[in-house]
Amino acid sequence: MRWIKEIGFAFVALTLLFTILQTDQLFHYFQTIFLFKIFVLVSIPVIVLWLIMTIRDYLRRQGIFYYCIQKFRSLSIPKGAKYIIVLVLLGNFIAIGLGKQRYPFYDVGMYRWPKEYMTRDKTVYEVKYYYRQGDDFKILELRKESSLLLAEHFGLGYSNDIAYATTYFHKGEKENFEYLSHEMKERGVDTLWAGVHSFNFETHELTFDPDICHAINVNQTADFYYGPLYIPTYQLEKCDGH
Amino acid sequence: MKINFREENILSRMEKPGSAHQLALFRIFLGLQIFYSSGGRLFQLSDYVAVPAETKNIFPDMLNQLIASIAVPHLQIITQVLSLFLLMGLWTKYILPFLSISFLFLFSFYYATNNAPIPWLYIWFPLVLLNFTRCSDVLSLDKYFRLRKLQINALSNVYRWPLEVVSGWFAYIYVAAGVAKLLPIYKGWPWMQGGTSQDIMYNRFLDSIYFYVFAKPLFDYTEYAWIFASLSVASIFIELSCILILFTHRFHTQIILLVLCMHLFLFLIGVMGFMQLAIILSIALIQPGFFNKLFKERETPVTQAV
Repeated sequence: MRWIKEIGFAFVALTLLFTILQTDQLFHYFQTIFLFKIFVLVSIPVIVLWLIMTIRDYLRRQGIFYYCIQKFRSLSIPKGAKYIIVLVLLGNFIAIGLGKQRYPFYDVGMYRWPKEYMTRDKTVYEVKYYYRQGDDFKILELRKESSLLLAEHFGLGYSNDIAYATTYFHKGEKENFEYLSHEMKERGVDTLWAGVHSFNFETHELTFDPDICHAINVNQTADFYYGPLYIPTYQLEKCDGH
Repeated sequence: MKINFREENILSRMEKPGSAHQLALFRIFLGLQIFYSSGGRLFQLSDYVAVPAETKNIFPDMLNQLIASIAVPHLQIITQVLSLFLLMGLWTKYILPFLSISFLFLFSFYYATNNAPIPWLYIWFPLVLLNFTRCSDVLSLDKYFRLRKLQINALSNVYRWPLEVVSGWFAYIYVAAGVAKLLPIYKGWPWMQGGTSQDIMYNRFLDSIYFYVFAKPLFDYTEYAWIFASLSVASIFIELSCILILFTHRFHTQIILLVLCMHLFLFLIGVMGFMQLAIILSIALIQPGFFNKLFKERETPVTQAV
C-alpha cells in the first residue's frame, strides 16, 4: 500500500535526520571517523529526497501528510484547541528531533543513554541513614516510605517523587540530610547516622553494618549510584582519629 | 481481521460520538492526580535544597525567578484548591485556565529543582486541552446546580475528540520514549544489550519494592546478560507498539495491558511513579460504548451549554 511506503520512507529519513541532529561534535566526527562521514554523505541526499517527495505530494494533493493536514483542518473541534494541538505537536517534534528537552516540551528521554553491560561485584552496597532504638538500630528506608502499605514514618504526601529525590537525586546534599533529619526529629528520632547496607547475589546474605566510621570510608571510596551520600558533620567528627 | 485504517485512524475517530461520562471520569481522575501531586512534600524539599537541576524551560528568566519565589506555598495551594474544583466540576470552565497556568508554573519549579519528568509530562497537555472541552456536563456540581443544560445532538463529537487527542498524547509519551532509546542510531544497539536495565535493577535493588517485600532478587543481577537484553528489547517493543493507537483502536486493550505490565515490573524493581499516570491516560483508550453501558447513557446523549 502507498501509505505504508510513505510512512516507511518518512521513518528512515527522520531516523537519519535525527541521528545527525542529535550528534554532538558532528563536524569533529565527520572529519575524524570515516564511517560517520559516509553515513552523513549518504543520509543527506535521502533526507532531501524525502523532503522533495513530501512537498511534491502535498502540492499534488495526495499522500498521507496531505490527508492528515486536510483531515485535521476539517475536524469540528474548537479552533483554539487546534492551534494548541499544532503548537504542542511542533514543540515536541523539535524536542524529539534534537533529543533535548525544554519544559514543557520533552523528548521523553529519561533512560536514553546506554550503560554498558558489565560483570558487577556480587555484593551490592548502599550507604543509608539509620537511627538507634535502644541497643538496636533501624534503617530509614526512604523509598519504602512512598508506599502507603509499607511506610513506617512519613505516610501521605511523601510520594514517589520525594522518595526518589531524597534517595538519589539530592542524596549528596547537606540540605537533603537536614530536611530528613528535621522530619525525623518531629517523629521522635534525634540523630540519624549513616551505615552500609549490602546484599550478596550469590549467597543471598543481607547485612547492615552500623559502624559509622566504616560507612564514611565506604562512602568515600566506592562508586555509588548518584554519588556518595551526605554524611553529617557530627558523624565525621566522631570518627576523627579512627 | 481486516483493518480499515481510513475509518479507524485517530483523526477519523475524533469525528465520532463519545461518552460524556468517560470525559467526566477523565476530568475527575486528572483532578485527583493534580491534587495529590501538587500536595507532595517534594515542593518543601525543593525549596530547601541548594543545588538546582540543569534543566531548561520556555519561560524567561524573570518569570522563572518569580515562579521560584511564589511556588511554595502560594502556587502549591492555588493549584491544590483549583484541582478540587476540577474534581468536583464546579465552575469548571472558569477555573480551568487558571489551573492550567498555575500547574505549568508550579511544575516548572518542580522540574527545575528535581529534573523529574513525572507527573507533569503526563498531565500538562491533557489539562490544557480540557479548557476547550465540555468535561463537566455530567458527574459535576455544574450539572447539579444546573449550570449546564441537557440537549440531544445525535452526531456530535464533543465528548470524543478530547479523549482521542489524549490517546494521541499517550502514544506520544511511549513512542517518544522508545525512539529516544534508539536514536542516534549508533547507540540503539548498545542500548538493547541490556546494560541500562542491569544498571537500574542492580543499583536500585536495595531500594526496590520487590526487595522490601521479598528480601531477595528476581535472579542474580550480576549475571544473565540475555535476561537484561530481553527486558530492554521488550521495553522498546512495548513503547513503540503504542504507535498503533494512531492507526486503529483495535489493539487498545492489548496496549493498555502491556504498558501496565511494564510499569508494574518497573515499580517492583525500583522505577516507581508511572503506573497511576498511565492508568489515568488509559481512560481515554477505552471504547466509549463501555461507559455508555456502565452509566446507562442513551445512545446519543449530548449536552450543550446554556
